[in-house]
Amino acid sequence: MTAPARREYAGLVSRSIAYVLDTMVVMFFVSGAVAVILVVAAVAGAYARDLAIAAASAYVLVLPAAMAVYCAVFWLLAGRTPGMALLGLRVVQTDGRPVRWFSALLRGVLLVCFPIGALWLVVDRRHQAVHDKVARTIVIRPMVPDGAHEVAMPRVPQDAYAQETLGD
Amino acid sequence: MGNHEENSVRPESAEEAGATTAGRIAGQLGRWGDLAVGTAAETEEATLHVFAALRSVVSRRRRAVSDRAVAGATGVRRRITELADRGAAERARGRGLLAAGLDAAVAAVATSPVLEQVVDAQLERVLRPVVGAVLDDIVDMLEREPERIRSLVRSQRTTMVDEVVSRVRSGAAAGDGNVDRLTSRVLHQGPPAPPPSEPQ
Repeated sequence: MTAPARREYAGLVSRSIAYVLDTMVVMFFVSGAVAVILVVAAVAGAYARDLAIAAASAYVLVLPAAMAVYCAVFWLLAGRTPGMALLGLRVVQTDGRPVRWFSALLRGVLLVCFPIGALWLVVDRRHQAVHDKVARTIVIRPMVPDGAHEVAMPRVPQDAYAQETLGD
Repeated sequence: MGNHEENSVRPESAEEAGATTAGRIAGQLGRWGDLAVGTAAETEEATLHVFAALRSVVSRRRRAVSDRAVAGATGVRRRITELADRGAAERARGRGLLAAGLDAAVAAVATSPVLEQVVDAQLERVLRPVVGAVLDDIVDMLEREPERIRSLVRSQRTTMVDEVVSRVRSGAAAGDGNVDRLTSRVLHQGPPAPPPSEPQ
């Protein structure tokens, strides 16, 4: 019988790094797709070229949408984006269950449309940003039990944890 | 009659004469005793003078001998020290000469064309066939069992990736901790409740 793995809330630095990595991934693929469209349009003809120019102009709109879809899909399927997986983070609902599709989509859209709200996690006790509050999610870092690859993180004493309730 | 008187007088004079003679003899004996005592005293004094002179001479001789011995021992000690110093210097010089000679000999041997030819010949004769045979064996073994080297490369790559990921995670976690400490100090917040565990 193994003891359940400890968890802790992910902070600003981890989530920012994961967000930047995910943004770079989305930008890479979206930019590649736009470049391919432009090349194909240059060969195809005048109508396609106009379409490609319009697509490139909509890049500013496509990129956030792609980011939202990318995040929502990964949160729904795996509970984490590739950037979060690299940092060892995971998105769950406040009751500890996996994220549902509506929460994932809502969270993704809010994160893309209102990214400044993510800074609320700095002052929140459970490091919930605005999109976390709305979607009722939290971002956690599962801690591997002692003896394995454990992340060096300052821990809060268990007695202090015991004085708190989960419902607040 | 007159003889009788003479005879009567004679005994008195004889006694006196005897007494005188005895007194003279006693006086003579006393004189001889005094002479003996005086001679003995004189002899004693002379003997004392002689012994004193002898002691003085012996003392002078002994002091002179002692001074010479001390001077000789100091000189011997100084000489021994000089010899020891010279011995140490000669030994150091000998070591330096030996090291220089060895270096020169090694350099001469190492750069000698004859030795180079010998080494080249031995390399051609022994090492190259061995290396070729070993490499052939290794290549054959890898052809037969490629999984061995693949697993080795894979495990090495996995280890490196794990190490990089672990460093990134630990650095990010440390940054989170620092930010948490700063915000809790500014906002006077206590630690949060632990996240809920995953329901079974």
